[in-house]
Parts: sequence; C-alpha cells; structure tokens
Amino acid sequence: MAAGPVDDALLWKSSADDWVAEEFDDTFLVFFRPSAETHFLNFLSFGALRQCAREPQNMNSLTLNLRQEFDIEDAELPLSLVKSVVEQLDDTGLIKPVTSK
Amino acid sequence: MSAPLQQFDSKDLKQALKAGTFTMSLGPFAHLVSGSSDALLDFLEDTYRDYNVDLQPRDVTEIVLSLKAPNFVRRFVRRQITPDPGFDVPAVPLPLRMAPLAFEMGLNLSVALKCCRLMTIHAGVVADEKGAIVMSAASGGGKSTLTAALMAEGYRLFSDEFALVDLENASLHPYPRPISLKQQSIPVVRDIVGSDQISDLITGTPKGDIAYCRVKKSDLSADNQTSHAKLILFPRFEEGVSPVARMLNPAEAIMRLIPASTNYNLLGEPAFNAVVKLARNARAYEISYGSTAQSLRLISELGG
Repeated sequence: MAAGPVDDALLWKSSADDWVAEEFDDTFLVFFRPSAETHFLNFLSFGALRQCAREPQNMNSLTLNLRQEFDIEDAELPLSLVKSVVEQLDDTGLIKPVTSK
Repeated sequence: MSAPLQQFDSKDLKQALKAGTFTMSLGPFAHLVSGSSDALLDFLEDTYRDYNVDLQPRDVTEIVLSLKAPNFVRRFVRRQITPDPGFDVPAVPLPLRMAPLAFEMGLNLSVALKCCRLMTIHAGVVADEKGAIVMSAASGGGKSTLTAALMAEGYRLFSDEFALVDLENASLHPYPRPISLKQQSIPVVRDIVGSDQISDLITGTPKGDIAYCRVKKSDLSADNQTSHAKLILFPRFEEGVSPVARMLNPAEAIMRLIPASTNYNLLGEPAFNAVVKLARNARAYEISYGSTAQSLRLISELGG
C-alpha cells in the first residue's frame, strides 16, 4: 500500500502470478494468493489490474491505456476515477507502487 | 461388522459408546463416538436406528466425538454434557437430557472446523436425478423447513447443514443426518412429513424447543452417490410476503457462498476453483416467500 497520497510519479505494478481471475459477464472474481482473499471487480478495476500486470505504469499512462482498451471518451473516464480505482486496488494489495520499472 | 443400529442390542450399544468404540460411517466421513448418557443412547436408537454402525473401531476415523461432563462435579450434581471433538470449541455445557443436541452440535462443529478435503458451506442440499439444489440461508431463514419439505416431495436429502463440495470437480457429497428443526418449524414440518417422522421434542434448549426429522432409508443407502448442483438458492422466509425470485450473476452467488463456508479461507485457491465450478454449472436465485407451499411452487418454476 502506498505510504501517502497516490503520487503521479509512482508506477503501479501487479504480478499476474499472484492472482487467478474468473470472468462472469462484465464482472470478475479475483483470488489473490498472498492474502487468500477473493475480490469482486468490475470491468474497469479488472482492466486496471490487467494493465498493471502487463507493465508498471503511472496514473497518466494507465488512464490513457484504459481509455484506449475500452474505447472510452476522456470525459467518461477522468483521471480522478482511475485514481480512485488505483487506491482501491492498492488497499487490497492487488497492485503495489514502485519507483522504477 | 457394520449393520443398521437397530439390529444391535441396547446393552452392547451402551457398552461400545462407553468404551469409545462406537463407529458410524456416513457419506464421506467415519465417526467414532463416545458417551455414557442414556439420553444419547435413546436418541441414537430412535433417530439413527437405520444408520449403519459398528461396535468395533475402524482403522481410520475422521471425526472423533466424545460427549462428556464439562467437569468432575457435573458428572454427579445437576448433570451436564458437552461435546468434545478433540479441539477447543465454544460449546455451552447442556443439561444431560439435551445429549442429542450436544451430539448433533458436536458433529456439526467437527465437520465445520475439521474437514479439509472438501469445501464446507453452511447450506441445505437435496437432489433429484437432474441435479442438486443448494440452499444457503442465515439461521432462521427457513433452510431446514425447506429442506424437509423438499425431502417430503421426493428429493433425496444430502444435508440440512452442509454442502460438501468436492475440490476436484465441485460435486456434492451426501451427508444425510436428521434435519434439525427449531421452534415454529416443528409443527410446519410435522404437518408435511407426518408425526412418525419427527423425534421427541427437546424443550428449553439454548435454541428453543427442537426436534429432528428422520432421514429416509433410501437416502441413507445412497449416501455415496454424489450430484452436481443445478440450482443455488438464497431463501428468505418472511411472514406474509409475496413469493419472488431474483436471478443472481454467478459471481454474486459465489460472493454470498464464500462467507457461508467454514473452511474457504483455510483451503484457499482449491476452494476458489471449486466454488467457481459449482456456480458456473448452476443457476442462482435469491427467493423470498411467505409460506412453505409458496417456496415449493417457486422452486418448481425455477426448474427444481
């Protein structure tokens, strides 16, 4: 978990080896091996998780990549929404902040 | 040599219980039970009369349950009994006459807290030739009444306490023990199944008045025949409500089944995989109803 507020300079990373996911329509259940917790994610949260597993990325890159992946207009997916998703994923431990790739 | 309990002499049964050599195999578990209470023996000879038991211990028993006084004094003064499954449990000592409740609680605690080779979900389960119906409800949600009513409709009883889910293929294992009935559910189930299928009433227990609904002989002889879930229900009985069913996304059903499991967190990923398989192959509904007749109609309409 990030020690302070989510910083734009931080990169967000997830290890795909740490979790297993099952898709049900537009929702995903993710079993996180380190905590043995099961999480219920919507398509956007899971998209963010998958993006961070592909490559560590900062908030701006993540937002751009998610807009592109889901073909969403900028106004429909503002940076603030992605920030909120990242904070929630950070709270669960599914993603973690790093300072370099 | 195992045989239906009623074929054994009371004296031999009592001796085996006292010596701790009384063995009962049921579904996936072998139980070794000890206890010297007459109330326990009476209960077993009545409600468990058709169960296969043995008076010699087997080589392997998974559940070892001892029913004994909580301390030396309580063996003689205002006699009490408590279940000891071999590990610390939060069981309240009960008056000796409530030995049947201590026995049933002890078995439930053993399965809930000790079983590691199956995922255990607190749920009632019945099945027909097309598959099983899993009913997960909070205490007082009408699960046992519904389970007994479906049994009377011809469904095979798996359990009114546990869905035992195979970790490999998510099949459900039968564990057909007597159905525990509390308070208002007793006359309701008595009307459905008939008085001769209900045990004597045990009054004034911490759970109120309780009785047990007997299991059909045919269900006992099919205790090794597993089934796959076709319906997962989250029933809710509420006086006077109109019957209604809401279909659930399998993911939502899974997120409701996980907290109802007693060993999900212990088992981890294998349990996740099993519950996903269970829910993927079944349809899940939340149902509300105001009477048992309504719930049976609703389940029939849902393909039960």
